[in-house]
Amino acid sequence: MPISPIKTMALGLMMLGAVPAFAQAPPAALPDAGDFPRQPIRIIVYTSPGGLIDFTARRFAEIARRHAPEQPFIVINRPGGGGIVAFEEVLQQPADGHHMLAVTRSNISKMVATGRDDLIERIDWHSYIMENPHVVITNSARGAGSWDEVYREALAAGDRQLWLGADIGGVKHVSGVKIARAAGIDMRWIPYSSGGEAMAALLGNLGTVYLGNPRDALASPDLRVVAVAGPERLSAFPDAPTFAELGIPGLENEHIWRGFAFRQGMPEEVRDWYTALIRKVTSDPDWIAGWANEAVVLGYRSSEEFGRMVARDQAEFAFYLREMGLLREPGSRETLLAGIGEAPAVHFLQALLVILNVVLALALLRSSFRHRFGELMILSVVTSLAIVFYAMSSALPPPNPVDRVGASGIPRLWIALLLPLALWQTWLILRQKKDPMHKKKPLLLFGFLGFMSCYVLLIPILGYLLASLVYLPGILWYLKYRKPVMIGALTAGWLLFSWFVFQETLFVDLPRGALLPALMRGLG
Amino acid sequence: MLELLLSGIGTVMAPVPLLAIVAGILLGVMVGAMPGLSPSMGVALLVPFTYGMSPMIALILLVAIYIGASYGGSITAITINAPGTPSAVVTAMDGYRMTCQGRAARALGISVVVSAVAGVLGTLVLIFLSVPLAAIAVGFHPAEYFAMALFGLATIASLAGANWMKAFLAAVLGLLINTIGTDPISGADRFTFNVTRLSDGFALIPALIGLFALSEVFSSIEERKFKATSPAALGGGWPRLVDYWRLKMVTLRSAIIGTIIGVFPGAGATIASFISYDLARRLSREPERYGQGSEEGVAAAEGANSGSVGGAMVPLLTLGIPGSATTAVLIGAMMIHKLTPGPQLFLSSPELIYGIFAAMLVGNLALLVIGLAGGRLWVQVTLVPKKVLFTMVSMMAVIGAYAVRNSMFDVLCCLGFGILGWVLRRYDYPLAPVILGMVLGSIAETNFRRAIMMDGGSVFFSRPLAAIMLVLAVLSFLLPVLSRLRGARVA
Repeated sequence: MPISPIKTMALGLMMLGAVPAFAQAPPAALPDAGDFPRQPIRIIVYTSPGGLIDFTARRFAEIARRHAPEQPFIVINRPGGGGIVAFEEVLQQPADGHHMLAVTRSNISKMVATGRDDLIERIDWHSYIMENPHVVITNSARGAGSWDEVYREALAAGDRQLWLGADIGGVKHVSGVKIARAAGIDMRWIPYSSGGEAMAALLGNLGTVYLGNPRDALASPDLRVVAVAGPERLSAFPDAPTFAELGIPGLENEHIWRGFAFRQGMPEEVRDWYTALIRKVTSDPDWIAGWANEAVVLGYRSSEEFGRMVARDQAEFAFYLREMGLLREPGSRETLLAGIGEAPAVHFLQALLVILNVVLALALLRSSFRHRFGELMILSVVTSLAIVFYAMSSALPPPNPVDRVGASGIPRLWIALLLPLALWQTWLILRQKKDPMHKKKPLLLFGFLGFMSCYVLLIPILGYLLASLVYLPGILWYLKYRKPVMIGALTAGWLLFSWFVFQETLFVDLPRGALLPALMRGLG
Repeated sequence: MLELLLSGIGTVMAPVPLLAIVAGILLGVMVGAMPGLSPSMGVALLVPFTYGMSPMIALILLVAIYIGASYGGSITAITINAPGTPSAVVTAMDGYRMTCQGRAARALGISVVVSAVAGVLGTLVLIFLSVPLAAIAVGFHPAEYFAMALFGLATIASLAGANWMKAFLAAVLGLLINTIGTDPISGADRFTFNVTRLSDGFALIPALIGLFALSEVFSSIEERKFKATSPAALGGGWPRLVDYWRLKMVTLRSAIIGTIIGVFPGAGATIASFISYDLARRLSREPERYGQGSEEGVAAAEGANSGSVGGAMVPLLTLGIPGSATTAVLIGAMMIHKLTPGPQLFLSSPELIYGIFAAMLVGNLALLVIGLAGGRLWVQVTLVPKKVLFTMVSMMAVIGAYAVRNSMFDVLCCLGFGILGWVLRRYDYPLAPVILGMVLGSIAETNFRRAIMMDGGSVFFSRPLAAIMLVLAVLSFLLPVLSRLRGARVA
């Protein structure tokens, strides 16, 4: 079904509605920031390619290139830990402004939930650029078609009404809990790996509600926005009431914002350069038009205001995540090892198992089973690891009436399968008296492994190119490949290939190494 | 519909779209063949270059990259035992064995032809059956996803060969490794030892490169297999038309399996490849050749892998929902070009949709031409002196593992998995079950727990489809094991 004329008109109006946010015209030219930027500007995105924040960063990079053509803007995906990996990477870079972080409100909930508030404190929350309220979406073709129906169904279902969404303890989960409380209903949050999977489940009528971004509802005509957790109705969905209109106040600020941040300590003139650039991009007609179909509210807020928003969100997430039992607080859970202190007990167990494995290795090398040394050691290490995992699993959230398996259930099942299999296999090996198959001479391999390990360990010190320059001819020589011209050609070819393809074309930041910069500083 | 499709083909058969298709396939094949670069990364890297293009040309280019990259992973899987994607692991099991036997050309030929044919079949299914398939996919309960994952895991019994005990151990090891990282349901960190890089578990690509490519290098150096392949051994090794014809049923079946499983969001090409391989083995007249360099094995894996591309496009185009990592990037690209994927796109821009369909059909034909021509070049890899080859594979492993997340931690993991793979290989533990456990473990666990959260434990029996699939999964696991046990007792 095409977007109705009303929706099209509404989207246009929403676009116009964004204009007052830019009533104050952006500066005509970017302020002078000395020789900045001296290198390509990297926009670090904390998710894999795809998804709204990745898309935001790529669209920003595209328009920013027009306003600051001196250097390219490169989008780099650093997924992991809900943003922790990306934040840590930016914090490891110099505070010179060449690495910017594309951030969302989800980062705050993740940092709070994992006890990494320090990352929030060390970031310069530079510019807020947009937000969209969370909306309650239903499958109107097969389920509830209005908030009233959702409400009545919830009263009938008790705590068995299913709300589908992404990420446990994330922004939407917290909003879902707040909405349910404010409305006086119970709901069961079913976390999916992605919003797309949750929406598919809603279309399959596997749940009643999907809590998501307004644009999600544009995907299918069956999806209907039945309530908006924002201050006013969305022009893209003029029929969807706000919670305040439904008589449920206090849900005017359930949203996800997006913006840009940097490592603290950036020179003031670079900060001003970015302020001007971001305002230019966010006022660009192409930027505004590009978001017209996405049901977002565009705007610009300075770092002071953005910082206050972040601080408010941090406090709010800490409160709700604690109430929901999702805040990681050491010692808050009853565990098998609680009596003697969970961490020391696990450390003791780890140390004990390491010692036992070393003793076993020495004993095996002197025994008649040394021809099966590797296999027996693998079995022993795997068994030890399984025992450590079992001990650690006692600190995981236990099963509860909703998640009856709990975080430890499946790992314990695998451990229960692994241990007898490993013991049985060990028994089978011990029964075999002699195995002539494994009379191999791994000395050459051990040398190769040693070379390769040194190479990997040297990369962070010497840098990728220099370490490769040493390793490649060295290892070929070690393998007795004695053709100096070929070795030289291969080395030069590889270095050129890796630099051109990975560094220059694919923007993979090959490690530069700590040694050369340190030497340069020393000399300078 | 046919009218629209013919019009789409007419649109695509112009110089600029054809150029976009050929360029996309070429780039995709290169991306896929480079360990460390996935199809989704390849498509994302090329998105900025499409800003100035019309939406039609941009999407044709990106879809062509997707098709090329999905195939490209098989090249390194066959030639150097370095599967670029988890689904290419299955291709490597027989493909690399064929290379070791001096039949690399045959393996490469089969993989490209079956990929292209399966790609065309998957696209035809997408064109004619996308709406009913999407309706089935969205109604799939987590209990059924769990059963599907179990089905995938049950293929261990087939992969195991004579060492079924060792195969189970390897699979459980993979499953246990898979539990490292953030628990998908409670959000708690599991077994990460406070290492941030482990909060999402081990990255799969470095693990794959280590377990397969590096361990192969280590084993070969240990056994001092430095003898170069003779060029004569490769001569005339390309399959003939009659050879492809012999594989018609396997190709057809694996394409259908790939397409259907690819439709389910989150399931994907890996489960499809394993199930297709398992089924092909069970229905084969020569099951004992699987894992030893079977042409049918290569065809079964590649057919499912390529078929899944068409499948993954079904939820994207019909519902606006990404069915795979690459289609998530394609959604972003569509948004950049101000298109909202979903059913309304069929009505508002049918010429675009059918243009994409036509591009997928033509793209697979282009893949056939480029793949067969390029195969002549790829096969030369096997002629490189082994000492040079091993060194270059170790270099490729390091840079490939690093490129996934720009992380030296991943490089260390890759090396660790390489050593693990070497030890396991040394004592005849199969490696594919480790990857199977690492890929399917989280799908099985998440959906098992999600199903119970939604409808209680009885849901596995109250939903007929889930119950039937579970029974079939258990039978497909138990029957080969019992028959082997009985065989051992008789012997």
